[in-house]
Amino acid sequence: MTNLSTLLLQIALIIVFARSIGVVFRYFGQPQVVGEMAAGIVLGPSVLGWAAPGLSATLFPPASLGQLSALSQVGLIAFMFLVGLELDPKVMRGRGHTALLTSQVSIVVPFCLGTALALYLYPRLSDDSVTFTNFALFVGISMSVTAFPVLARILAERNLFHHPVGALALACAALGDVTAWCLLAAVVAAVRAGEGSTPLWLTIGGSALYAGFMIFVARPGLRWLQRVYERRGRVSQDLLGFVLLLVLASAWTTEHLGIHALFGAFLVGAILPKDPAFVRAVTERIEDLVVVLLLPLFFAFSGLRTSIALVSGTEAWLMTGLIVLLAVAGKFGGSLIAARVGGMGWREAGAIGALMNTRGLVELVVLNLGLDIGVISPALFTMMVIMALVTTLMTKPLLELIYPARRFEAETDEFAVPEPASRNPAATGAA
Amino acid sequence: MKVLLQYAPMVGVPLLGVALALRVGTHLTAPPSVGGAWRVVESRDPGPACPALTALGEIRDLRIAQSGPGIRVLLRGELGTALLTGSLEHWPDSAGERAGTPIQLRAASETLSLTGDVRRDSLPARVRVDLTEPACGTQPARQLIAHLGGPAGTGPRSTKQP
Repeated sequence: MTNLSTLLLQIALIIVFARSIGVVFRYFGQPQVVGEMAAGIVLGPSVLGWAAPGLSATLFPPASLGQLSALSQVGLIAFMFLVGLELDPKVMRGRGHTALLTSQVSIVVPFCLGTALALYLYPRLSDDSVTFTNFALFVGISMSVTAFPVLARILAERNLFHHPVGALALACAALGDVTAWCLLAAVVAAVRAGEGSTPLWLTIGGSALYAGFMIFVARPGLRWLQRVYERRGRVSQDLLGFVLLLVLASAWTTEHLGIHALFGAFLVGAILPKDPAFVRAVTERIEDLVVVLLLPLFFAFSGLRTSIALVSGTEAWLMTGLIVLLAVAGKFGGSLIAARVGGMGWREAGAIGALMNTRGLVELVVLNLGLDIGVISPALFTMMVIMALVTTLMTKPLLELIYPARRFEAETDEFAVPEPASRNPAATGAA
Repeated sequence: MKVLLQYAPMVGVPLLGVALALRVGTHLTAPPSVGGAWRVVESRDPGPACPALTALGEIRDLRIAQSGPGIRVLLRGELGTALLTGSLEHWPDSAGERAGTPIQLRAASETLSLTGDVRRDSLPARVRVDLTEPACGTQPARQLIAHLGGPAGTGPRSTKQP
């Protein structure tokens, strides 16, 4: 088969698996994204490669994975732009102290547990090409992330954007997202500086300058985009082309600064005008292609790197169990206690904890980054993928247990709902 | 004041925990790194022709994926591939000792077994590998020398023996 034929066949197969397994998961009340993550694992060495190694080698020959990887990276850049676009500083207003406390505690507690866990994992799952500090910081961050898009999707499905629990969870996830991406950028910079590609001072100084430029100079300068949109009443191809060029230029810049292209894409999304109609219009133009075509490629590529066979033996499964346990204890427990201290009731605080514990595909983004820069090993990658799946799968049942949907429904009537949830950009299918 | 009283212990204490873990962890050592793509620069067949190795053809490179002491070695031949799993056998604890000591590794699949030693102090880093096919005899059927990230496009220098 030619390279193009192989790629086309791979894409078709990935879409079929992602959509069909996604539908099955949706039937069981899970977000579609969990099914798509599982589809990636099914197509990888864990299932297809184990059951039919010959077929797997024919469908996904190692030499063809470069093309798949490149396409999936483009998809991720577009996805991170959408994540940034969904981030609206307004959701944080009025939540003040509780949101700040909960978001920071929900980052720092699992981060602390992750670095402590690294003391046990480092001699067993790493090697001396990675310093303990980089390893521990990365494990800490990968325990700390929340899947903002998955969380937003769950809130949209339950029409909870205007319920105090939903609004606070959204604000916490947004604040936490910013913190986690900044921390991750710092760790990636430190690891890459160790490789000698770009000096650390240049990476940190350059990134800070660039972020400052984007927030304080480019952001006000980009308000005209919204005016153009309002004048024309739609996002024209020229306008969309300009936005995509911005995304690519910013991704290129952060990649060359020594952090990662993903951060640049996220930054552009975060600084664009936040008028809901504008955000919705831009999202709608990009999202379907990203969600239906490009993100499943990323899931498949992640699945091809995930080999459950690497988690063999009692000790390896105990390590995986420990990772899941500490990830849940840190994120769910940390958020719960912080929200309770911040003034919420136990049940509401528990619901916040359950929502913040979802990691979804944001965790996969972080883990793939760690594997790419060599800071985590293939076995730890697989264990963490299992953790991401488990924590995402448990979100809805746990939420239902703590704060049943009927209770939310009864309470939602007490709160004004100025716009349908489906009109909120965060409620779109990018989860 | 109330905010500070809540914020300081709830964020400050875990941060101290992070600092403590990072401090304690600096004394830890991880197994030596042998992972990466190793390009075969020399290949010898000192033993009889064995079916599993014949099926691979000339081996061009070895990809070693490492997770702690565990390794997975992918042999990429001109006719096929073989995946072997195993581990590092012995390695010195201190960085100083590691510099001059070869690192032993061992891996196997259903049909092949591999022993080798990695010298990270040579330039470029070098791995010497003996491949045995147990069903075909106990003597190494193929011996390889590979360099870490060697020059692209250069095939192995073969030394066929009768």
